[in-house]
Amino acid sequence: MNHLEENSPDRNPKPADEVVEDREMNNLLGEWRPPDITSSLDQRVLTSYRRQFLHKPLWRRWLTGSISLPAPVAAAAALLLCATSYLAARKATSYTLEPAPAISAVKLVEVSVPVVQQKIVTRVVYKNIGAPKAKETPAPSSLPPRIDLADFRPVSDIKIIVSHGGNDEK
Amino acid sequence: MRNRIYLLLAALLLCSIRLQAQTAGDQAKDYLAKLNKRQVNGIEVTFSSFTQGRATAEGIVRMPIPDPDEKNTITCALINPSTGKIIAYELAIERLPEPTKLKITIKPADYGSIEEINAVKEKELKLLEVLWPTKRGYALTSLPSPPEPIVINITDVIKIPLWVNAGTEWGVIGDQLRFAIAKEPPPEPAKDFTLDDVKFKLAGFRLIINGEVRSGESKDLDLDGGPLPSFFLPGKGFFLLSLRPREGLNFQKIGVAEGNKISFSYDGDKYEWVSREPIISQDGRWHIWVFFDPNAKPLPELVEISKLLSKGNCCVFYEYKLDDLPKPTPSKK
Repeated sequence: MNHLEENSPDRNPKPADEVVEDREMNNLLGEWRPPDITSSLDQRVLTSYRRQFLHKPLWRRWLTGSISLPAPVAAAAALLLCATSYLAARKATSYTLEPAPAISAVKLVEVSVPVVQQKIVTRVVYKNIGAPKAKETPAPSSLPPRIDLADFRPVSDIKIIVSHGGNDEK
Repeated sequence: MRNRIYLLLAALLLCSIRLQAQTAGDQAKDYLAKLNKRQVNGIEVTFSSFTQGRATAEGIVRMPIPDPDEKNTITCALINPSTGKIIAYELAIERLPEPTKLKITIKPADYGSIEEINAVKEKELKLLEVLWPTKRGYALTSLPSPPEPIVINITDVIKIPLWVNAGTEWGVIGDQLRFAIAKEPPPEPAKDFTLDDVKFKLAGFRLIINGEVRSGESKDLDLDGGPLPSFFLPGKGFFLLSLRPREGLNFQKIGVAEGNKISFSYDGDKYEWVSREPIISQDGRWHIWVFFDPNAKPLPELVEISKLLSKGNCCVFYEYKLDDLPKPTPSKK
C-alpha cells in the first residue's frame, strides 16, 4: 500500500472517518525512522550508474541519449527545419526539370525532316517559273544570278553625289 | 591639246608586266590596283568603286593618271572588258583659300583629234585586247556634258556614276573619291653612289642586228631609269645588259656603250642598240657586261604588245629591276 499516493492533495475528498485514519497514519510515519545508510551504498549506486550510462559506447549514447531543449529554441529549430525542407524541395523540383534540354534535342532531330521538305518546296517554286530540271541543279536557289557587266552602258547624265559624313547629296 | 592617256597607258602597262607566270592582263590589273592613290596639287585622291542597285564593279579596270601638263588634274580611264567600252574623265582639284575646301571639276577626257583617235585604235586599243580579250573590241566612249564644278570639304566623299544598267534590274557602277592633304614622304637616307645608280636611257630606240634594223623606231618604246635593260630575241634568247658583273649570273664583258649606242657581238652576231639620246649621261666609252639566257621566254602577250608598239618589232624589251634578278646562293666551302 502506498501511503503517499493515498494522501496526495489532489485526490477526491474523503469521508470524515477516513480523514481520521490518515491522521493516525501520518503520526506513525512521523515517528518512523529510516535505517542508517551504509557507506557502501553510495559506492554501489555510483558504480551502477557508471556501468549503465557513462560506459556506454559513444554511438549508443547518441542513439539512446536525449537532450532537453527550451520550448522557444525547439520551436525555432522546427521552423528552421521546415524552411530548409521547403527550399530543399524546391531545388529538388528544379533538378527534375533538367532533362528538358534532352527532350528538346530529340525535337531538333525531328524538326530536320520538315527542313528537308522545305527545300523540296523551294525547288517546286523554281519548277513553276520554267526550270523543269531545277531538282537536278545544285542548289541554285541560294546563289543570286550572276551580274553581267555587258549589260552596263555609260550614263547619259553625270550627277555627282557628295557625302557629308554619310549623308548623300546630289 | 594632245591627249596622252593611251601613251601613258601603254607605258604604264609595259612597266607593270614582268616576266612571270601570271598572265600579262592579271599583272597589269594588279599593278593598276596599286595606283588608286594619286597625288596632285598637294592633295591625295583615293579612287575606289561604288555600286548601287544590282551591280558589281568586279572586272572594271581603272587607270588614274596624273596629267603631266596640268598640275592639278588626274585623268581617269575606266575599262569594261565585258563590253569593250572605255570611259575617261578628267578630275581637276583646286585648293581654295580656306584650307579645308576644294573645288572639284569633272569633265570628259580629251581624246584628241580624229587622227589621234584612229592612231589609238591601231595601237593602244589593240594592246588592251591582248591584255583583256573582248569579243567586241575596245572603243572610246564620250561622257555626256560635264556637271557644274562643286566646292566640297576635304573630308567629303564624292561619287561619280559612270555605268548604268537600265534594263530590268537597275544598277549603277561608278567611282568613289576621297581626299586628304598629301603628306610629304620622308627624305631618303643618304647612301653611297654605285654603278647601280647609273641609269640607261633608251628612248625611241632601234635594234640593229648584223646591220639590219630589226626593231623600228617608236616614240612608245622607252626604257628609262634602270640599270638593267634587256631584250628577248625570238629564236635566240634573252640578253641582259649591265655596267658591272652580277654575282650568280654569268655576265661577260663583251659590250661597249658610247654616246647613243650600245654594241656587242655574241655567237657570231653583231648587236647595236641605238637610242635617240645618249644612253649613259656620263660621256665616254664604257664596258657593258652581257648576260645571255637561251631558255628564258617572255609571256606571249608581252610579245604581242611589243609588236604593237613598234613597227617591225622583233623583240620584247624590258627594263629589269634589281629585285628581279635571282639572289646569289652562298658558295659552298
